[in-house]
Parts: sequence; C-alpha cells; structure tokens
Amino acid sequence: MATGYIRTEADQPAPDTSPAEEVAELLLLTAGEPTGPVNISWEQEPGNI
Amino acid sequence: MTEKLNLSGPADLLATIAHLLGRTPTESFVILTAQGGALGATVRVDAPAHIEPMNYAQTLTSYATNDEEATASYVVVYSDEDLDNYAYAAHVAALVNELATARMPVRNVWLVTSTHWADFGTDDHNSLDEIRDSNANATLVYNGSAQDVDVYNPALLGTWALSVQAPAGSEEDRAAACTAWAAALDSTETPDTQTMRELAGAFQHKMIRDYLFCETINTQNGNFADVMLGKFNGRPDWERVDRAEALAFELMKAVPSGQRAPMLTLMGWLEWLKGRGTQADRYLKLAASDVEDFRLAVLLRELIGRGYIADVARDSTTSYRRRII
Repeated sequence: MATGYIRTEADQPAPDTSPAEEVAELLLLTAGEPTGPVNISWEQEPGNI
Repeated sequence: MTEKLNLSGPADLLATIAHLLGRTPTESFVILTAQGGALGATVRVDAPAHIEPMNYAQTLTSYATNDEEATASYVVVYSDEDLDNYAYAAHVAALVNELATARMPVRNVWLVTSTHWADFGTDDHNSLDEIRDSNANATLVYNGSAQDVDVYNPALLGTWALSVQAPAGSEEDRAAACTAWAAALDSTETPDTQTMRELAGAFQHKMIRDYLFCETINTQNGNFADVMLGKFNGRPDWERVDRAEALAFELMKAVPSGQRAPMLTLMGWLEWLKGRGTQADRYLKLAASDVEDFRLAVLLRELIGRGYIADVARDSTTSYRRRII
C-alpha cells in the first residue's frame, strides 16, 4: 500500500518545497529522538558459528 | 565462492563485523542477530551519549527485530570511553534484558577498544592481532572482501570548473533530464562532457532533481513518499545504484563548489537506502556545507540522525549486500 499523508493547516509546506523535501518534512513531524545514524547489513552467505 | 564461512570463536566473529559493515566501528554498539548457527542482521548504532539505558535498549532492540527469524544475538561495544569504570554497563544490561524479552537472548557481549578486546565487564586484555590474524579475516580478505572505498574523493574534484545553468523546469526539461539520466545509468560508458554538464545542470533544479532521484530506482511505484522512504516494488538493481553514485561523483567534477550539493545529496540518500547511515550522514553533511543549509540534505540528515532506516534496508530479501564471500 502506498504511503499517504494528510497535512493540517498548521503544517503546510513552503511554496517552493520540492516533493522529496515535503516527504522528509512530514516524516520529521513524527520521528523519534536523535540517536545518530544506523547501519544495518544482512549476512550474504550465513556463516557457521 | 559458495562455501560457508566457519566462525569458530570470538575473534572470528569480531573480524567478520568489519567486513559486514564495510569498516571497523568506533564508539558504537553492534548487535548481530542469529538463528541457530547462522548470522542474520548486523546493526550498528552510535554509543549512547545522553540517552537513558532503557530507551536506548528499546530503540536498538526495535532495530534488531527487523530480523524476524532471529532466535539469539551477540552484542559488541566498540569504545575507548572510561574503560576503568565499565562505561555503558547500564546500557548493556538493559539491552541484554530487552533482547531476551524480544526472544533473541544474548549469547555473548564483547568490548573492543583501540588496543584490545575482552568479554564485556572483565579485565581481560586480548590482543587485536587475534582478530586481524583470525581464520575468518584471512578467508574474507583472500576472497576479496575489503574495507569500503569511498566513491567521494575530494582530491579528484579539481579546483576549477565553469558553472552550469539549471533548466527552466518545464515538463520537456524534466522528461529530457530523466531520459538522459536513465541512459547514463544503463550505459557502461562514461557520458561525454557536454552530457555531464547538462545532467549536472538538471540536478540544480530541485523539482527535476527529485525526479532524477526516482529515476535511479527502477523498481519503484512512482509515489514520491514511497520512493524517498525506500519502499519499492521489489529488490532494486543495486549495481545501477552503485553506478548512480559513481556517476554523481563524475557530475561533481563537471561543476564548481557551490553546485555539488544535489549530487552529494543523491549519494547520501543512496547510501541510506543501502543501510549505511554513517556514510549517508557524511555525504549529506558535505552537501550542506557545499551549499549552506541545502534543504533536502539538512532534512534527510536530521531524519537519518533520528535512527530512521530505509524500508528497503530492513528486509534481507531486498537489501543491499556487500559481497564478502
């Protein structure tokens, strides 16, 4: 299902906001506390431990 | 090579982390998930600065649970912080509890410093040479795994180039830019100078730039929100993504400083899609310094700094894979 958002009157984007900027702005409205960037990788060929 | 990598002890496992992540972490917590005798996800997060242990542990555990198959885990603390007083002991204890609650109990916790490694909470001082000389490290290096090499190399950018002009932004401009960008990504040849400068010019127009970002991923559904978040129809063509990063750097060579931010932002976004938050943050920071407060770079950097992981990187079947063996 595609991601959809509804803006309230209080958080309308600036007129020159690009689509990508608008998406990032909307996500930040509900983003968590600053924790620093996360790196995630997946084992390509699972090793035997 | 199709054989499995045998990890027979802590040194082997610790050696493997640098290969999985592309570089050896510093001041970080790393969680490796496991199912039976096989590794799953490797998650790296900055060591906690001012985050309360329980919050930190819950956040990290939420990242680890992206591996829905995991039945166990390992924790590695990379730090030189206050070693005499077992820095982060409360965070480690909380994390062990949270991972157990999430049904992936911790098998071992290790500390790796710049001088030694040890079981966490002990005064052991095992040599880092054990990691470097481990069978796993030797096998991985022999098979071609190496630390990541940055696509971005400022020494190659040159000091002088003519500015490029952004197009007016008509529908025809957008279509032409997308066609040229797709052709460049699909070709094995480097575009000629004129094409490079036209593409670099197109990236200067923020609306066209966004379309060029989308055009880079050929498994997307056309919804800007989905594309930006890495929610795709299938596994992206990661070789195309690698090529896009290399091409973005070539475009940076065609323009002076002050016009490189859009390409750096593309590189940062693509690194984020790959699950490499640290590298993404670095490129986005460079973008925001090339053009002060470059809006998209600032926003993406803040998002990534809040621990947001791209959807495509959360799933082992769609994620980018470093070839390590």
